[in-house]
Amino acid sequence: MSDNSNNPQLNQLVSFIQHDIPGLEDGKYQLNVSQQVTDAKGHIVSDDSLSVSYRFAVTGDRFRLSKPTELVYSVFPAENASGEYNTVLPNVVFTKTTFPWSRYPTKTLNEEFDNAPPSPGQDTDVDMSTWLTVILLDEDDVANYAGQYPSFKLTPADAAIGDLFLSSANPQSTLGTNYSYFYGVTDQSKPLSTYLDPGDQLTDTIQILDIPLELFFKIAPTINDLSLMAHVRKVSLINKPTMPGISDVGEPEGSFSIVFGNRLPNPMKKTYAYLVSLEEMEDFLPTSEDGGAPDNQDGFTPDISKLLRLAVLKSWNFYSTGESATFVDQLNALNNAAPPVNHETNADLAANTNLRLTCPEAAIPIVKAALGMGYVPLNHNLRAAEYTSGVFTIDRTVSWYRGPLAPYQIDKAAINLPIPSPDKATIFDPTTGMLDVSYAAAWTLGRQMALQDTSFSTALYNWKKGVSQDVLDSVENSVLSESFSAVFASIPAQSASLKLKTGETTQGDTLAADVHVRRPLQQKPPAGSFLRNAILSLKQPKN
Amino acid sequence: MLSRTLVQQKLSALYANPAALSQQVEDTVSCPDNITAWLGRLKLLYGVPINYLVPDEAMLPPESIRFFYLDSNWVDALVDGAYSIGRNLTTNEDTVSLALDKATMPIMKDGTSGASASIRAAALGVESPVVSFATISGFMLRSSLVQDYPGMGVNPYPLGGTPLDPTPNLLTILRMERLGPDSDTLICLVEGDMYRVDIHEAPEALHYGLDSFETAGDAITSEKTIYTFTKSGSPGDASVTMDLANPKHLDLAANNCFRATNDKRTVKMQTLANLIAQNQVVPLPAIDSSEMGFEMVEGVGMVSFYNKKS
Repeated sequence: MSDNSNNPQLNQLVSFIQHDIPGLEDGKYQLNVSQQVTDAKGHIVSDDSLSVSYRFAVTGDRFRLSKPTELVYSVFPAENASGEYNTVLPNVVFTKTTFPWSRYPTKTLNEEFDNAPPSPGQDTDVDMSTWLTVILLDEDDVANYAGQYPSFKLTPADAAIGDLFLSSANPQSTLGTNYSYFYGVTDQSKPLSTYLDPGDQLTDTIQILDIPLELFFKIAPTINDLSLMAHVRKVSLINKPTMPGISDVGEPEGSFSIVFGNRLPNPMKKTYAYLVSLEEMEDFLPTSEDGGAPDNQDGFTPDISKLLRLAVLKSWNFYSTGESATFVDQLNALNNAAPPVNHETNADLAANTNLRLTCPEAAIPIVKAALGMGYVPLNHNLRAAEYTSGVFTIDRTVSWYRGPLAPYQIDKAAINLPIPSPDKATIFDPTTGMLDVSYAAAWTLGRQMALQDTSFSTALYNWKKGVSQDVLDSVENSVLSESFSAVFASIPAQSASLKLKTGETTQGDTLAADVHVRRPLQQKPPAGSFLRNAILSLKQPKN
Repeated sequence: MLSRTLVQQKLSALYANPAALSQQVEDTVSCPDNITAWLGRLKLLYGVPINYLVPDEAMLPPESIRFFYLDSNWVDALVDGAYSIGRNLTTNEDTVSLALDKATMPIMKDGTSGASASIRAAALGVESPVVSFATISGFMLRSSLVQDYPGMGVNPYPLGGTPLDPTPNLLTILRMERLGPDSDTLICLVEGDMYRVDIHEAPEALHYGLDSFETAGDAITSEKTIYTFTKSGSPGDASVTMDLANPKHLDLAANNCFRATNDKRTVKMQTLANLIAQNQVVPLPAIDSSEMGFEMVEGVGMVSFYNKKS
C-alpha cells in the first residue's frame, strides 16, 4: 500500500474565513453630494454650494427568507434525521456569504464597541457578531414553562410583521405588552412603515416564536459569543454535484457562510431548531457568559416575566437518539448492508451493486440471463390492432427493455446508424420469441425530445436543408466547369471578376435572391456565375 | 448541350457513392454550435425521463447505490433519433435525406462529443477535458443523503489508480447532479472504467462537534480533541498548518465551558475559544471565528464503494 496522504490531487482544501462583510449592510441610505468652486487661494468663487441628495435602500431578508431554497444550502442535523446528535452544535449553511453580517445584533452601528461593524465599504479583522443564531428547544423546555406561559409552543406560529409591534403602537398586533424587535416603538407618533425596510409590509406573513425571557436569558448567546458563531468557508467545487446557481456558474471554487447554535441537543428527545433573527436585540442578550438577565449599561432592564417574540427564518426538527447516524454510517448502510461493512469484499453486496433487477433463484435460465444483463420485461402495445364487431383491440405483447445504464460493459457496436425507422432498431430474439425494444425506444425518445424543443428542431432542419443545397450547388458547379472549361480558360482572370460584378448588378433582383441562399463554395469557379444563369431554369431534381 | 439530365445524373451518382458524398460534405460543412450543444446534452442523458434510465424501481430501491456502464448503442440511437428531424420515417434506406444524414454524421458526432465534454467544465469554469467516450461508467445513488448533504464530494478511480496504488488517477466526471431540485437520486457519469468511488462529506457543511458530553445530576463530563496549529504568512493572508500527529484532549467540563447554573447544554463560546487558544503549542491570546471554525469541526467522513462488475 502506498502512502498518498500528501497527494494534492486527492486532498480536499477548505479555507476558513472570519467573515464576509457586505459593502453596505441592509437598510435605507441617503447620499448627499455638494459642490463648491474655489480659486487658487481657496476663496469661494461659486454661488451657494450646489447640492443634490439621493435616497436608496439595500434590501435583504429581515424577518423571513424570500427564497429559502436558494439561500439555505443545508442544515445539520438534517430535517427529520435521527441519530446520536447530543454532542453536535446544529448549523445552517447559506449560499450567500454576506448573509450572517448583512444586519447586526447591536443597536447602533457606531457605538464604541469591540464588535462594531466597520464603516460602509471598509473591512475589518475584528470578529463580527452575526445577527443570526440557531436556537434549540425541546419538550422539556416547554414543560418547565407551560404553566406560566400557555402560549409557549414549540411549533413556530404564523403571524404578520405587524405582530412584532407593541399593541399600543399597532392595535392589530397580537404582541400585547411582550417584547419584540420594535419594543422601543410605543405609540403611533410616526407611521409604522418608517420602521420597516422598503418593500416590507405590516401584513407580510412571517413565522414567530414566543419564548419566555427567563429561558431565553439562559440559552441565548452573548454579543461576544455571536462573533464566534459564524464564518465563511471556501471550498473547491470540482468533485461536487453541479447545483444550479452554486456550482454551475463557471467558478471552480464556491463560498458558503455557516451559522452555529450554542446549545447541545437534549438526548432522547425530539429537538426543534430555529434560525432566528437577533437584529438589534442587544438589550435582550445576556451580558454574562454564564447567561442570565442582562446588565445593560443604558439602564434598560427587560421584565423577566414577559415573552420575547422572535422572527423565525427557518425551523426544522430532528431526533437525538443513542444510535450513531453520521454521514459515514448512512453511507455504510446503503444497499441494506449490515455492519461491519467492507464494500470491497462483502459478498452479500456483490449480488446487487450494479443496476439490474435481482432475480429469483427459481427463474428459468433465459430470464435469469436477461435480468442479469439489465433487461426488464415490459408490456408492449403493438402498432397492429384487431377489429372485431366494431371494436379495435390493440395487439399486445411483452418485450425486453434495457435503459442506457447497463450493468456490464458493452463494447460492441450493435446498431447501424442512421436508423431509418424504429422498427429497424427493434431486435428479435428467436430463442424466446420476444422483441428487444431498447434501441427503438431510445431512438423514438430522442426524436420526441427533439420535436418538443422547436428551437432545436427548426435549427436542425434548416441546417440540413442548407447542407442539401450546398451539395446541389456543388454538382451544378462541377457540371458548369466541365462543360465550359474551354470558355473559362480563355477568359483572363482579371476580367473574369469584373464580368462577374457587372453580371450580378444587371441581372437584377431575381439573381440576387437566388445568390444569397447559396453558400459560396471553395470549388466554385468565380467566372461561372454569369454562365450559370443560363441553366437557372433547371430546378432542383426531386428525389 | 446543357441539360437538366446532366445535373441529375451527376447528383444521383454522388448520392450513390457514400464515400464521395461524405468527402464532399466534410470539406464544406460544419455543424452549428447550437445543434451540437443540444445534442451534447442529450448524449449525457440530460432530459431523459427517469423511467427510461431505471425502468423498474426495484433496480434502484431507496437507500442504495448502483454502478453501471453507459451503453453507447443506446445513446447513439437516442442522439440519432433527435438527429432524424427532417428525415422521412421509412423502411427504405436508400433515400437522399438518409444518405445526407449518414454523410454529415461524423461532423455532427465530433461536435457533439466536444460539446458533451465541455458541459461540466464550463459550469465549473475549468478547461474542457479531452474525452474519448470509449467507456463511460458511473453510479446512481438514491438516498436521503442526496438531499441532506447536497455538496457531497465524489472521487472516482480506475482499477490500479486508487489512492492505495502508487499512481492515483482521478477519473473525469462528465455529469454529476441530482435528477431534480428535490430529488433523492444522484447520477454520476465518469469518463473511463470506474472501479472505486470515494464519497465524502462536504467540507463546507461540516458541523461543530464535541467528542463527548454527559450529565449526571449536576456533574458534566465532556471532552474535545483538537489539533494544534501554527500560523504562517501575513495577517491578511495567513495559512495554518495543523499538527495531526499530536492531538490534544481538552476537558471542557473542568474548564467551565458550559453554563453550569443556567443551562448545562449551552456552550460558553468565549471560554471554549480561549481554552483552545491557550492549548496551542505557543499559547495564543485569542482565536478568531475562522480558527475556531477549523478547530471545532469533526473530520471529513468518507466511504469507498467498489464496482465489482458482477
